[in-house]
Amino acid sequence: MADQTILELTDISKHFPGVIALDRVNFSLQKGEVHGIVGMNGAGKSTLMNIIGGVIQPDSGVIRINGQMKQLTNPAEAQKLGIAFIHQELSLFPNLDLASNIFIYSLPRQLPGFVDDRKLEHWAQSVLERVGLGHLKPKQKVSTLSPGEKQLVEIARCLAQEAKILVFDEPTSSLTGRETETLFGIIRELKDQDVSIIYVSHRLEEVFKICDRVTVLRDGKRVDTVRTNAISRHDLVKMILGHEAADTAHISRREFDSVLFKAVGIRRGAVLQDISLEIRRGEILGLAGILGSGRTELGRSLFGLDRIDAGEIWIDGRKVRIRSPQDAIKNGIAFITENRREEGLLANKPVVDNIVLANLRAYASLLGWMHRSQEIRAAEQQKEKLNIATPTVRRLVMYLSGGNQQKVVLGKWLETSSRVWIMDEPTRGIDVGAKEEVYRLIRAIADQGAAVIFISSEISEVARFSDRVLVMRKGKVAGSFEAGTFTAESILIAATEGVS
Amino acid sequence: MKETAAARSATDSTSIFSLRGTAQFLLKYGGYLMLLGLCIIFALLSPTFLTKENIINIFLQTAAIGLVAIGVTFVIIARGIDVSVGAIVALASVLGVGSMKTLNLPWFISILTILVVGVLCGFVNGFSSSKLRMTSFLVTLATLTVFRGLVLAISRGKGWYGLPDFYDLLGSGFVGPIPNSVAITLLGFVIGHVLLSKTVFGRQLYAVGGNPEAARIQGINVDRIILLSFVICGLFSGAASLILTARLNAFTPLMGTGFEFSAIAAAVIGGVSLYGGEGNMAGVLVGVLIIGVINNALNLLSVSPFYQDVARGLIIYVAVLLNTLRQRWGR
Repeated sequence: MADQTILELTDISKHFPGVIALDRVNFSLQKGEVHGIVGMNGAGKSTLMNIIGGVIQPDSGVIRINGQMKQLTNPAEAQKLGIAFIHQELSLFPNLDLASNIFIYSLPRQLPGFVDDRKLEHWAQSVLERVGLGHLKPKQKVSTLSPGEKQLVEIARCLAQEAKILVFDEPTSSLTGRETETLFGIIRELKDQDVSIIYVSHRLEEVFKICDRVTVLRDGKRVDTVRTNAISRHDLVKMILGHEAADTAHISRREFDSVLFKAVGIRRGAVLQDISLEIRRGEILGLAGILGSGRTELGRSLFGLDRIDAGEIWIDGRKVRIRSPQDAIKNGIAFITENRREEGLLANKPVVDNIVLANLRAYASLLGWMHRSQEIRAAEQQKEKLNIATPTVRRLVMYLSGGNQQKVVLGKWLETSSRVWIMDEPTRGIDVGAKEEVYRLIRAIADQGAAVIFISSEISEVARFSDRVLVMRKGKVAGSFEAGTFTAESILIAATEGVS
Repeated sequence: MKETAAARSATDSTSIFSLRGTAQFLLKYGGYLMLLGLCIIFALLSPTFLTKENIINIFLQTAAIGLVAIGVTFVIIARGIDVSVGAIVALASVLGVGSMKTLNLPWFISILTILVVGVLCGFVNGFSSSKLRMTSFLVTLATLTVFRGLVLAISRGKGWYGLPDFYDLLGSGFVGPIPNSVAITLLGFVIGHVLLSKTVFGRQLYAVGGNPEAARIQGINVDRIILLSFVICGLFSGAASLILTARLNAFTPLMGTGFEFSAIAAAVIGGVSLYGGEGNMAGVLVGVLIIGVINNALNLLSVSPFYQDVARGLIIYVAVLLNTLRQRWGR
């Protein structure tokens, strides 16, 4: 590797209201280097990437490209300077052919305004070969490609724009094992062509496999930058977690009686491969895993939002058939979605309308006429019980804070007679104080005899809050921990490397 | 990955034998089959259907709608919709004819006026839908009402009949065996085809329709493309106004009424996706002919005008249904 710095960030800081996202971070990228960036959620990885990509601007600090000070004021500017992001399939045009996708911004022209299709095809063929897609036809439509192929087409497009720095954000989360290998092959070839690569990933084994150096971020600070061949996995995990979180094991002193919810052999394509789990009354099962591990998909499937190919679900010793959310609700399953605003709430409706939403029949006469006074009474009760901070239940949900919105969601499901609760990222976007309150409410729900599946990408949260933990990785169970046998570290290792 | 791609292209060519493949085949070539089927049925039902006069008649009657359909296709590919096209036809005509009748301007100014009015109306629609971020359906619903109102205000609800020689020549002359207006429409299809498939603008239009967000990231001026699509639509509506005015040899206050539905239906039947990014001129031509053949046959078979509307409404219903199915199964 030529020891030549192509990109250098010095003392970069970025504040958001109430948070220091980046605190005097330094980062340097060599020509032809693959540089990994790792850290927990909220460590500052995406902020750093967005600054490099020109999406947001730092409050202070200096960016140098090839030694020259540059201001990256917008994505187009960054692109012009040779920095390209590999988006996850999102930025392709499914209706256009490969050649047009790759060269859409710089179509070869003949006469004014006309596309030179022959040249376009020719160019596209040579770029496709560079990314190992030489067997595809430039005239083929993108919609016929697999996710892995699509990603390679994106890389081809960046190369066509003469990118010198490629930024990958979790590139393998939608790829199969073989596609991942192909991608790594391409990355190595690009390296030989003096292209520099920033590789953001949770998957430590990939970082060790493909990266020359790795920068660890934690709480907005750079912990260190190290050569991957000079550090052990164990030490890297320690650096990611910080020392405090790594050692104390959470010991659940609770006693649980019978199994309430059981799923056996759940399968859904490659996304869920033979997942089984059981939860007892009053128990909180933490479900951990990195992005793309299948944790959210499992939650959705158990609630009937996604079709399963095979598998059985048992509730209270009875086998149930769940093909739709209606089936799930009928069987007493509640689902708290990770997209609270889009899927969990009617944001432009009052609190009361939201609270009664999952159980409308209870407030209606036989003919379907709603009794407003009963609705209000029920909403008032939930407001008291859950301590929802709102002057009145007639206030629109959109004016509530994130924590209070989540309480409204919980209140909605409490109005149903749910016994099994699937919660996907229930504390996302909620500030620290309100988080504790949400934890307490979830624990209270469990204590009343419910079975709770607690899905979270924040490993420290899972470790601290769950009675037992199931770790998923690439659609499979990568680890199952009984009470008292897990720490944040052991969960992280299972999630990233699949040790059980 | 090599094998999977090869396997896929293999299934692409043989897939017609599977149920899903059959469905996809029908959705892809359904327009052609439908046109053929309709012609056979109508030929059996009515002895006059296949006569030379009637066939020329079909083309004459659909020429104006054809031009409008070409125009809206551009808008729909860019994920927009334009329901004001019929009103643009009337507004362009009233101003063009009015410039001669009341201001005594020469005929070529009148022709220019018709086309320029089309472009300006398209610009208003396009500017509102792109720069002002308004929903194109509602924008054009509003401008539809405004344009129609202007037509009645300017004409006081009366038509103007008897136009100078040039219009007469345009309206009743022939290029070889083809009536002038039909020739203009066919030329319109050729221009539309070239614009869509051969130009940088065309490629960018499909890109915007296929994935607007990605188009923006890729540095395409999305607003400009959308604006242009409406301007082109306005221009083609102006051209439709011109040939319709010439063929009628008049302006009439209600001209162009319902063109928006026929034109959008023709485009959709012809495979233009209401979800944006899909469609080509060959399909639109077939769609236009289907609409024309049905309109013609309903008259030949002396179906009452009320039931004709029912029939046309049902055709649009089926077209949208096909469009939705294509979206779901097409890929």
